[in-house]
Amino acid sequence: MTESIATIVRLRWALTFAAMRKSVAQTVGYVITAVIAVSVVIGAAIAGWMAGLLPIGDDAAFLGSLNAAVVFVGSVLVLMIILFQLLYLGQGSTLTPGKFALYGIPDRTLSLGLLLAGLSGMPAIVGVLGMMLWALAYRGLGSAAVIGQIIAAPLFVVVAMSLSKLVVAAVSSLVRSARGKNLFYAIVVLAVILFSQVGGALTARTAIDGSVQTVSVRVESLLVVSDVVSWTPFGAAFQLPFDAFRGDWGPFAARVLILVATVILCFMGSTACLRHDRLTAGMSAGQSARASTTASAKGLGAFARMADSPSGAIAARLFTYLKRDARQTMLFIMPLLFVVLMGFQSHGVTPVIWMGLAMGSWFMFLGEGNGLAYDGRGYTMEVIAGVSGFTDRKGRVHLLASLATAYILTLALGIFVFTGDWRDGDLASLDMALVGMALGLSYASLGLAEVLSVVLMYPVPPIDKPFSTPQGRAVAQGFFPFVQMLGTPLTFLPTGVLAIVMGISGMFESSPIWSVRLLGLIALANGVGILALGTWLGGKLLDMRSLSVLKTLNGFASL
Amino acid sequence: MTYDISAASVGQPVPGPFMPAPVPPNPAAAVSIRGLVKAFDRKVAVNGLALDIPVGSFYGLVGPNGAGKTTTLNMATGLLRPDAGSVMILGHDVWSDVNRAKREIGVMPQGEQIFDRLTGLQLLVYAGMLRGMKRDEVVRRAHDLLAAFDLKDAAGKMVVDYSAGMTKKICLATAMIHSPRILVLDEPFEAVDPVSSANLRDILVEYARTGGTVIISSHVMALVEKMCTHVAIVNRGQVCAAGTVDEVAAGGELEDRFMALVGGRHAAAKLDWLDGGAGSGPAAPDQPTAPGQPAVPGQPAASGQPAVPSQPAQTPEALR
Repeated sequence: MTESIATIVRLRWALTFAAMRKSVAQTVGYVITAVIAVSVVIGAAIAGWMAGLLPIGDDAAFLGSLNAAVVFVGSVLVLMIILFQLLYLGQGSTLTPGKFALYGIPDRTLSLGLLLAGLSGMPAIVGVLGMMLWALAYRGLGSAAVIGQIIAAPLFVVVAMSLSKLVVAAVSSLVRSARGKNLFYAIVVLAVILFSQVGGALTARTAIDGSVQTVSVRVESLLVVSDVVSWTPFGAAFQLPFDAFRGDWGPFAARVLILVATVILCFMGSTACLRHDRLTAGMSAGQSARASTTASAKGLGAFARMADSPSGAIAARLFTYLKRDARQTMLFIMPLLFVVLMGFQSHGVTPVIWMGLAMGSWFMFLGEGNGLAYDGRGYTMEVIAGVSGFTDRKGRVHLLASLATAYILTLALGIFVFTGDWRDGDLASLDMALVGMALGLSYASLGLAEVLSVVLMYPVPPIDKPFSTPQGRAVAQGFFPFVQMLGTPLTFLPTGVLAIVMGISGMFESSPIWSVRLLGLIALANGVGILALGTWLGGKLLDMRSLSVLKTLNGFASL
Repeated sequence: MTYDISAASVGQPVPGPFMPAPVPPNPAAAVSIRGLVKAFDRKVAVNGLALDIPVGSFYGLVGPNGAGKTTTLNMATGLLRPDAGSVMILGHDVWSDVNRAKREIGVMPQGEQIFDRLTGLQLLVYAGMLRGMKRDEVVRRAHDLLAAFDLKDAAGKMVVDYSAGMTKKICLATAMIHSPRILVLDEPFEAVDPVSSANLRDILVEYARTGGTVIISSHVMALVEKMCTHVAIVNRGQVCAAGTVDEVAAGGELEDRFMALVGGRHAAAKLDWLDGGAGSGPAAPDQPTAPGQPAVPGQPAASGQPAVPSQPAQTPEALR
């Protein structure tokens, strides 16, 4: 058993080094990760040292607040680790249990091996070191608190890792249907965004003094919440140094017990998932796919409705896939999400909601910026058939621009009715300008995506495992979408220049309504122009690079 | 009809270093390849390969694993750019107008190279419309193909739900939907059941009879011998022999000829530890079993008889 576990841990590092040898990008990625890791550890040490300078032991109220804040932030951190693990990391592609299926390793040994392999990784080591160095913050509270934190550090990492592994394993095992995966992916994304709003929920604007808003934390609500979460696996580890400082050894032991029990239960749960997967792994690909895919379709579906041309075929294929691909759900969530979030923040200033619409439209096509990677090796069919790059781009743009237009206009109509802006003519003009801008931004973003998806591709998880991680994705995925995100405003340079010209010429003062309306139209035209340019340029690039794209996609498929 | 190719005259082993082909490409051939070279990093996969495939032939490309068959087919069909050499399809250079060449041919994609979340019918319609065919015509042909390949009942099912054999058939159908003049099929009968395989063969033979050219790559010699009119044996990125099946077989069995040209056979390796459990078990067949004692626990053994009848070891010669 020990030998098997040690082999799995060794294998993890052997695969890491092999990946580095194979690809320069991977090596660069690891170096960047290592630099970030060292920065995090040093940052934790500095933060701990600085916090330790505060006279926390002398002021009971301040200590109570600090205690509550640490437990609360720590709990949110654990939850975020789990959600991000689920969303962005998932089950690693190299050390999946399936890879060990042939070797007859007992479930428990394999589960333990995979857990320890995870714990031997850089994030876990950084986590333990960082949390241990945070103990410097408690040096003013005495050695008991410091030792409590040093004990809490590995417990926190092991608990976070165990919970993540259990959740990922459970999701991979239990959420099988395509529809279920789509829904679950959407829920996780929403959960991450909502958690990021938790800070806002616990703060209150206590005074408005002219333009200055002072924000204070609702200490009472935080105390109650953190008191509760300190008895859960999420917050227990963060309470340990405070228990040690106060000499509450009973609660200290109880919390350690909760953490240990969590690890054991997670381990048992992960092993059960492993067993479940192993027992259902005997199903043929067809059978398991049958369980995971939706029912059969009658007739031609979208192929009957799209244009009777090669680009129509591409649009119909893409439309059919968008409905069945959990990974591309964000396309449909983004604008609605931004509108809802900005709605919460608007405090009655309705143009803020319209800005949410514009922002959502801007981010809507981040996935399309890597659209060919989502197509995967299926793109081979286009290469075999000798479809021109422009035909491909035209088909995609036709569909996506139509969807975006319908979606944004429907959403705009909803906001218009909901906010009651239609009652005010001036406000309605401003809203219409913002709708023009939203449409323009989405077109420009789509146009840029059609170019970028040919040149800056990064691996995506396979369609049947949206919660898995292809190797080398993290670095590229972190960087490449930014090119589109930051590039889209750059394509709006003509609108910006014209806006400045209008400002300088005094148009906004002389006829503000008409200026705003005109600016909306300019933004819309700007977007349409970029879309046309992107479609053309993307097509040219795809013609030149279609075989390189195919090679890259084949490379991604082998990850 | 036999074509004389400098680097690969029928039945003659290829000379060591690559010699440039003095014979110009044959515009009358369905496919005419000259001096094709492709290297991946430092490994030369295709090394000056030359071959002519006559129009209307059923051409088999055979060779051991890693011989360069798939790489050659990929370069001939515009899916991989060669480092050197030329490929002509029906008199047109492939790489000067690659999309034109692609329209003339039908390449069978592999199972992972298709959009398997489409239904069988949708996939065929997609393949046809991609090639600029009108929807009504594509739909009509798609239904014909589904019926011919026994996939009518699965027309509305997603391809991901198909068995391996069904997937192979739908992939083949996508290559045929536009009625190409040349069909290029990489291992088309792998995982296809014998009945479907026979039906497919009939379709392909009929297609070749009407003037179409079928090029298949395969490891199965018997199949190539039975179906193909012509064959080329590829080894180490070059053609060892090419011509009609009878010419290449040179009066013997094609498989024997293949073995002789490709080489690589060796005496059966004896791995002492690979003993099927006989070396460690208490009642191994090659160990003396006491009369009346079961050779396998729980199973009676005939008195005095070995539990497993011993067979004479086959010599490598016998295996050949």
